[in-house]
Amino acid sequence: MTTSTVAVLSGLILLLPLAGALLNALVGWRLSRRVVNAIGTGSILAAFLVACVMLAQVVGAPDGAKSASAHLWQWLDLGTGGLRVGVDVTLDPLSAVMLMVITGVGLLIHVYSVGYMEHDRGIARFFSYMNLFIFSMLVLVLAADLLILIIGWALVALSSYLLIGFWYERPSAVVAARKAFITQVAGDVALVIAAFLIVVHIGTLSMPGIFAAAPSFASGGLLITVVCSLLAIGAFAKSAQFPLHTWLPDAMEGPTPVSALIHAATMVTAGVYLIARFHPLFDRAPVAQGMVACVGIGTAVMAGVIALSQVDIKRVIAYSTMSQIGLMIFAVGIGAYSAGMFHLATHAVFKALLFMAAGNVIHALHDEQDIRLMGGLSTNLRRTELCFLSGTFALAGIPLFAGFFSKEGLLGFGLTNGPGAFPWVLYLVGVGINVLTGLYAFRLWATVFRGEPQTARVYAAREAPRVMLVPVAILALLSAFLGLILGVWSLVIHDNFLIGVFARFLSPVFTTPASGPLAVDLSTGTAILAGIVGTLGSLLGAGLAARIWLQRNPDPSAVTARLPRALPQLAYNKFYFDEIYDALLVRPLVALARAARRVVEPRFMNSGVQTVSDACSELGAWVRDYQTGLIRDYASYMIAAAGVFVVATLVLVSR
Amino acid sequence: MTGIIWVAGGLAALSALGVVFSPQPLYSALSLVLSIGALAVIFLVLNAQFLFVVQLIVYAGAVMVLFVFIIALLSPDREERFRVDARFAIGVTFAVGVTVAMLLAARNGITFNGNGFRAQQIGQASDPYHGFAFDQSDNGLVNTAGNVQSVGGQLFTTFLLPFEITSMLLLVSAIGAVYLTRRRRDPNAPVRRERALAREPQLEEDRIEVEVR
Amino acid sequence: MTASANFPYLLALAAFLFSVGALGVLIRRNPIVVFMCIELMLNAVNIVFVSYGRFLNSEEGQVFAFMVIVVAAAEVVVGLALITQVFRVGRELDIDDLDELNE
Repeated sequence: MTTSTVAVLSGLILLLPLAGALLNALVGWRLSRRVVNAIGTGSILAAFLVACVMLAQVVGAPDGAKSASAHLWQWLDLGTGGLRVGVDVTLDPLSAVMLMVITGVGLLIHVYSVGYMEHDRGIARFFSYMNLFIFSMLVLVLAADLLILIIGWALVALSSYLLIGFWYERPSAVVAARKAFITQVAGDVALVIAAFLIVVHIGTLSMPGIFAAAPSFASGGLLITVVCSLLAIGAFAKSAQFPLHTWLPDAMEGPTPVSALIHAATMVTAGVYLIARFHPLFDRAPVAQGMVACVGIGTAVMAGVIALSQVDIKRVIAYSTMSQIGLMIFAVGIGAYSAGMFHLATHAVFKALLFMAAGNVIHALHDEQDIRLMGGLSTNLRRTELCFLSGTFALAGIPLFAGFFSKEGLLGFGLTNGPGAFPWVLYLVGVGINVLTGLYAFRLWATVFRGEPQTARVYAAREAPRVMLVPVAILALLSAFLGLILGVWSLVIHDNFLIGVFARFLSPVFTTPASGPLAVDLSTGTAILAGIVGTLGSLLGAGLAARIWLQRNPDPSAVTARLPRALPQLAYNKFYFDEIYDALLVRPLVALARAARRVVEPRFMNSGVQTVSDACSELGAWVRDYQTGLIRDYASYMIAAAGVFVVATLVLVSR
Repeated sequence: MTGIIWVAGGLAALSALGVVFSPQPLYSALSLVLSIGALAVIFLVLNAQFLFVVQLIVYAGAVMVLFVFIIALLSPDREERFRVDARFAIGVTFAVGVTVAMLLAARNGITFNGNGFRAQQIGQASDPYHGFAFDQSDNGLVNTAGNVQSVGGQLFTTFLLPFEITSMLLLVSAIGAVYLTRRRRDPNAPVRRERALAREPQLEEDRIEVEVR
Repeated sequence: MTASANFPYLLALAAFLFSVGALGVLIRRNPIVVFMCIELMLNAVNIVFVSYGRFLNSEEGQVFAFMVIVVAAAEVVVGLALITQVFRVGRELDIDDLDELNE
């Protein structure tokens, strides 16, 4: 795997989606729908093939040479001792995994979009945004320089903004897009401040340089804690973690393929990637790690509870995404980077699957999203239901489905690696999350597909066209068998059963620190015990859900009646976070702005601005007298100037 | 040779004044012919025989004939008095200032070196031709009598591209002139209509005259 | 005294012709005369080219002067065509009537 190979491959994989985006943006409006579709999906197909070649390059590289960087060009050079920023790319197992997830899942979702957006007039705009997103995400993942990573980081926020607000005629979509963008920018600011601190301390932003200089940070010192906390805040904003999580459910205003691609599979997991990528720093900041782990698991619990109470099919899945990402954040927070990345990969598969299957349902019911109005769809949407069920099983962590391997593997680390004096506390919370996950996953399936149909539209629902079913089916197969294949493979090579192959593949990146995650052998009794308990939790949740909702006429209110009355209310209103933020941030800011308009502007601003504008118009009136339109007048100005110039030259140049 | 230059230069200067100040365009044109002829003589003295011929044939011949034709066509006997206004002041100041400054500089010598040319300080007579003289050797390309051949060689080798571009320019201007002056057949063309409108008062005047008569 | 000594005075002559031409452009209202004055200015530039070519002992001055003559001819052709066309519509032959640039 030579530098030039990496340069060529990454150049290709970056330029292909960018070219697709530009093509569709510039000339898409005059191309036929078929050509636009071909450009949009074709560029991603090509990028996926390139990604496969890149994965093969990494797999084929000998041990110890699994990582290669390439310098594309020098972007900023402030001279010796100054900051130097190169557009560098890194290809290593970590970025290869991300590339496969982004382009692979991205490709399927693009194909799906061809069917889903069939009747939308803005198809060229849609595909150009989608390709732009893929490009931005690839920049983020391939970047070998923190500044370039931040550029990709901001670009994905931009494309997310554009796609959430894709249906810009809807005020709610515009508001949601703005909310998502502003919240993510809050995280960007934290990231930029972290970059400042790193530059001040180390003097470089290149990631290899940062990681090589990581030991110069005092372990557990204040500086590294602050830097890692800021990085984590950036990750929280992107990954919709508490307290910056409120934008994700609103982001469901975008088209469903967007929710599947950006708000489930790829962009929201960028925070996990960021923390995993910067693990050399996080390993030296236990306090920040503990904070990350607690926030992750806390968000997971909170989002799980909310998911249980929501009635919008996409919002339920969105909250489950938030919850699952919380688990991943927890994993990278306790140092189980490989486990977190594995869950990221499987989650991308089954969550994209769930979203797209939900998209099929929404499509079949003509944009109905309220699950209370569904029910009994299994007769008309049999294939979609099968796929959805595969995703549900994977999400709930039913044994032998993909989610089982990744989630139990992830939680297994929690038993021994958790932060603080009682490392197993968070693990117990994780088991509780398993129960919650089983509950809301099967609740969603049962409410949508089982029971009595709640509206007449259900009877008229028709199965989605093939172009929308095939990608869903592929993902369904993957989410059913991906974990099993990798698990069996792991057994064959006598490794850790749960995440062995994956962890081994990633091990060149996450070089095992002394107390690091891979020092724990998951094949020990403790780990097996942890896995069994976790699985029992998942099964318990699933069983409870079946008990409550898998009836002809489910009556969940009988269950909620036994709980304290405040709890369902709190959950249904998402713990009032939107209202709290509104009262704490939005209203004071609006009040401040109003006050400024009433007091500051008329008293201090207007006079100055007025003076400037008056001066401009006076100047214009004065100049206008000389614009007679007579050529000879213009010539006289020219000649007067020339005369001044000649005399000045003769006087100044003569000795 | 010097005498010829002085005489021709003076003639060119005087006839230039004639171009500007003759009240009748035709006299201006004739003065311009005289000026161009005098300049052609200067070219000949400076060993630019080719330009001498071109100047006479193209300028004094073709271009001036064109001018005279147009004058005859458009303003056969039209006199013009010019006002002394701001433009006049600017022009006269420019002309007088530049000429006087250059004459003073010429009297004091103008030097030329690798960095460009410099005028000696105005008003201080020093070595008038310091560091500045024509190449005295008569073996030089330009100084040999009859350098038409070498000029042609330069035109067709080093400056072939500009030369061809210039020929394209001529072609384009010829086509442009034909396009501009052709008569429009379309009765709705704006020029035709304006012309008709402009003529109407004339007809009116004619009619009134007839009545008076 | 050879021709060489006259070189600075040739530049002065060129300056004179140029500035007198400019003066004509400014004060004459007849567009045909204005064009003649422009020709005068171009000729002034030609003198500079040719005398510098002589001074530096190179043909390039003459080559450029030749180009200037060609461009001047082209300009006269197009310019006079424009003048005839503008004044064929019956306007006065006065350049100050052409003030559409003011709009």
